[in-house]
Amino acid sequence: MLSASLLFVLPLVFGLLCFFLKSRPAYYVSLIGSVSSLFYFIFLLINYTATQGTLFGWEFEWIAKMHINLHLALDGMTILPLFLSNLIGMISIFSAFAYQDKRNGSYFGLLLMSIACLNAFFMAQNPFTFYLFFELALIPIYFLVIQWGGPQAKKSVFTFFIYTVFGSFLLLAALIYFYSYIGINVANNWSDVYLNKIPEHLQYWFLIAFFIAFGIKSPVFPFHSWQANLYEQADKPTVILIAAVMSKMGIFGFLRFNLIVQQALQHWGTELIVLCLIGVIYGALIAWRQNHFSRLLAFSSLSHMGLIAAGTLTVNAIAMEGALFQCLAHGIAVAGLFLVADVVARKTGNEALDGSSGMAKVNPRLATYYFILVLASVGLPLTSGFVGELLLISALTKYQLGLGIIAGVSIILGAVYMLQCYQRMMFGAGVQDISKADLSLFEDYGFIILIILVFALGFFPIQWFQLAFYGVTQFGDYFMSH
Amino acid sequence: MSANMLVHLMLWPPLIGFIINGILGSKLNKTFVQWIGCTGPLVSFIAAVLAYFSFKDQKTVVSFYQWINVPDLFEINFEFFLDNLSFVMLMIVTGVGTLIHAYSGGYMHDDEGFHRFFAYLNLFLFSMLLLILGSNLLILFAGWEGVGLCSFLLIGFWYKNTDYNAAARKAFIMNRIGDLGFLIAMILIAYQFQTLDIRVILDGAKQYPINEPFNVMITLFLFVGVCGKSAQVPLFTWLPDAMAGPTPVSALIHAATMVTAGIYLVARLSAMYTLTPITNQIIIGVGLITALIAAFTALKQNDIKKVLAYSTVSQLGYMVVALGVGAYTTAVFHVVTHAFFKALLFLAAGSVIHGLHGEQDISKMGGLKEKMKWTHLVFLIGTLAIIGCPPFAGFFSKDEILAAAYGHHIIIFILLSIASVCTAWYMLRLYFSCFHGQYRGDHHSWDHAHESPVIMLGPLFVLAILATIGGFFGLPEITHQTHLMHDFLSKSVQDTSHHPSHLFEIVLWLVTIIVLVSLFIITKKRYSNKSIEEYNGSDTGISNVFRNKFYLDEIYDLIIIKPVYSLGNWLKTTFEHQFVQGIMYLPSTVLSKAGTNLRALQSGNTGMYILAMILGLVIFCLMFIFKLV
Amino acid sequence: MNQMPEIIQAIPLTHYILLSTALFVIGLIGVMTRKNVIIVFMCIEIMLNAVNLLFTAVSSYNSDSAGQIMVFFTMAVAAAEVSVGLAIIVMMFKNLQTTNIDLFKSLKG
Repeated sequence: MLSASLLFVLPLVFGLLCFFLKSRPAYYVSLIGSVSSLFYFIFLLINYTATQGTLFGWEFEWIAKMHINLHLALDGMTILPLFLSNLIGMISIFSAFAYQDKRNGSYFGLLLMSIACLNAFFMAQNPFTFYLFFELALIPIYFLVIQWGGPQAKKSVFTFFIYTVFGSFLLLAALIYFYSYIGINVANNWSDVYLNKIPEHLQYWFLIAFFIAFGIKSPVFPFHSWQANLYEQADKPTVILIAAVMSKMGIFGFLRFNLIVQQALQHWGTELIVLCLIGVIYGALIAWRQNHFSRLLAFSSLSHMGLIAAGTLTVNAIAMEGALFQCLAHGIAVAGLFLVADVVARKTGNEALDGSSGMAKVNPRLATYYFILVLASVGLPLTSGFVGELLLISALTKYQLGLGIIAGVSIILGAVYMLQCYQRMMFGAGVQDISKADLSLFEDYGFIILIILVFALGFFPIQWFQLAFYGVTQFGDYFMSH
Repeated sequence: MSANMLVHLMLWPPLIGFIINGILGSKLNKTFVQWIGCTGPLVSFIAAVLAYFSFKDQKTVVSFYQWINVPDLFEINFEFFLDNLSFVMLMIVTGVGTLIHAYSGGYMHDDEGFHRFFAYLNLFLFSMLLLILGSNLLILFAGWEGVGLCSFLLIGFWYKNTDYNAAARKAFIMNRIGDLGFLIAMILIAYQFQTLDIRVILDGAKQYPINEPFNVMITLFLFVGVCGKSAQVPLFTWLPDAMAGPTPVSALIHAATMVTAGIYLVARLSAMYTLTPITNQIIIGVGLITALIAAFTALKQNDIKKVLAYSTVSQLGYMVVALGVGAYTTAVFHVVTHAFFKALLFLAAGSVIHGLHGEQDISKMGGLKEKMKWTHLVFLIGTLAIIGCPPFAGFFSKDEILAAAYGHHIIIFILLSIASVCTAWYMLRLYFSCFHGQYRGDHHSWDHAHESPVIMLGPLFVLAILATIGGFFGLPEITHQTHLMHDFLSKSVQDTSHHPSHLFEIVLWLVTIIVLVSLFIITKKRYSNKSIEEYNGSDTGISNVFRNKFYLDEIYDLIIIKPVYSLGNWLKTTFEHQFVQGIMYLPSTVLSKAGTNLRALQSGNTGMYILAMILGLVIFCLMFIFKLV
Repeated sequence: MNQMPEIIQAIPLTHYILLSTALFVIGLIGVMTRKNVIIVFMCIEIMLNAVNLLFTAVSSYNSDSAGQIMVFFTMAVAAAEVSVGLAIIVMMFKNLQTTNIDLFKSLKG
């Protein structure tokens, strides 16, 4: 009997094991842990028969008196994010190869534990489990950043923590209100939760709570000020996890919870979408003016995530598919770009854009990988970034033509800042003190895996859509538009 | 061979060439790289020829696999489509492409990025084939963006130069602005027709009345894309800057093939454009302005490639006007002849630059006739073709465009004629400055000037022959011969333009010849023996405006780039820190301030604490006594 | 305990209350104003005893033994407090070489 819970347990057990090991053995244990978790996921996928319901479920009665259960299982919506979290977990551990002697066992243990929590988060089949892992995933990240981050790490992670805890508090308040006043058991499965009609005047409050909670996590426009500092300060394997997977938790939250507040969204949708789109343009403009690579990527993420969030707020099937696909695509691209940032920072000792000028000459292989990732990030057709963006912009255009065009401007601005950044980092006359050392084996593997996926998503998007398809149709019945 | 097989043979060889040269190129020797690079396009060309003989006058669909399927929106197959229009474009792209690949073997031979160059060229060819063959707009768009990418890579080929990088970025971003229009148009089409398959769209469009607003919107957005790719006002300024790339790139991408993609797109969707006369008015206007601005600017340029670049923009303006008046086959005919003579001119210019070791300034040339006999000959043929001298290729196609313009409205005809005279003027100026009179550079470079190797001259001769006889594919009605091009294309594209009378044609011919002969004499006198100072001397008034490209770059800089740049800076430094973070940190700031102020109460003096305690007690008691609680 | 000794009744309850209040206020003012920590400590004892006096007086007048039981508790606690408090004072004196209460400021925020 296959169980989805193993996706949570496997990395957790390996992670705990790492705490008791010295740095180098711990690295290899963590490597085994993440790879085995990815392979177990692929194994589940092979046995996955697309149905309307959930598969490989695991339920655990936690507080019997209040009928509160933990419930982890796979359904159509979870597959792509779950693939992302396992894949990026592995890539993040690959990228930690360079630090294997400098970090102790607890570092790798914490990395694995955050992978475990993220896996469980995406598999959560009821609001309560969702909330539990929404919070829990924060804890390993907190320790990772505070202990191994840069000089300002304490301040940045504290800001991040306060922000997210504030958001989660609103989510918790909403869930408690559900439970005690409206009488919806938060341990019911999603489809049961959606069936309950919430009075419209209350939906507005819930909408605000959800928007802030998930908007902070994604982040969308006014709630983003934790992001750049954290991305700058956290060490790169951690930031790969944060940027590529944790930020998708917010989007996933929108996807899960928007169905609950659809009537409110009909009235306030436009305003919230405009807010997200302001973030799209705003992030792109600031990214254009950045001189620090990680900060640039932070604002570029703000721009991309804003587009996805705006798409989800239109609450229709096209946007939902687009958002799921784009989460995967953006995760792959941004993980690769942070991998580049890691390599470049170690070769040149800084992350200033002009600090690695002329790198293409010294290390053409890195330049090629980087260029392909840039293309994926600007959404060139036949790379991963295109299809998702097309669907999201389609959904926004359908919602309102003007919004679609504003969203589309992001593809111009994206090219502006990414190409400028690439040219300044890789091209140009060159600086002297670039280490000529080649990429390590694991970095090479990491890049190659990501780049294969960039093209696999670009050339064969339909296969990935089919994986997500039942997730969309499963909840399609709850769309107002139907 | 089956159509499926042939399409495979057309598409994949360039891509395979790209992969081999891209991954292994640095380890292979140059001859091998060159062979691999040239084989791909050649195989594609042969496959295209074979396909032409098997499938001409038919509409053949080749489907590979399903690409995207979104219920309620569209279903996209990785699917290709062969008809007469695609054959014409295929011949140009693979044929001229193969010639330019061969030429590059000589031109780029000493460059250290030799393998990279061939890899990019092959990738370009692959993208261009996607663009031409795609049976739905999304595949077409994939090719459309792909050629933009290759253009970016090749303009910035010498990546150590930051100016070249900036030019590459400018090209990509200008194209992206157009692409956004294309993207929006596609999404609107998807909602209007529930498909992106070109044939279904064209069938569907016929149900709508003339000037249906939604269709007008679609065609206008598509035309934004055309403006970006085919370098029309206001998005054309990237093309002159794109001359930073190696010359074969300018010949292949920025003259013969990529920039004509926009013309191809409108011709492909002509059935839709005929239903939206409003859009056509705008197209004519844009084309005319482009043709004139570029022609005027070219009059005063001293860089051999810049002159040719502006001439390309101007010729593209012609084609766009032809599209606007409904002469779609004529526009495609001009694409064909233009590909021949403009590729020829660029490659000949490349031969001059190669022979002079990188010199591009015509004020430092002159008298090259003696040193480069063959280059001189082919350049002369190219010049005669572009200025529309009978019986060279440009004469027939340009004549047709003028006639169609006359059929639409006389003002269009007059303005185009002015542009045409300008074209003759600046091309003859270029020709005489380069090849006649005295050499104006230093002796050292004169002694080292040399004719190009055979591998470069070979393609030049082929193109020279094509530029000479290319026009006979489209003999005018007056000769009572069949217009081959028109006949062939009419199977896939329907013209809606009006033909003027025979008398008009004869008058036009005579006037053309008289004007050209007189211009030839004037320019020969004027430019054969001009001194270097006269070229670089300061201009006044209008010619200064021409020399400075109508200050368009400066204007864009002032009204778009600078404000956005400052906005970005302001957002980064001021807004982000003071406003966004200010508001977000407001609660914490308030609490922190309050804490600081309240610290004073915690004096650490126990007596004070007790006093406070007692005061509190007293107050509480008093409240209790007076029943305030 | 229905009967109260007459000798007690001879003095009205008001006097007891006034006396204990006076003692309490004396202690309180001492705590607030004196600098020497030993004196402060003695003042606290005075306050405690004032309360004890009030307890016994009221319990006697009301014929309710609960108040007097309370006094025993208070005395026990006071004894413990004195020992702990003096120990603290000794330690503070050792550390700071002073009994001036104004110099004991580690509570300052």
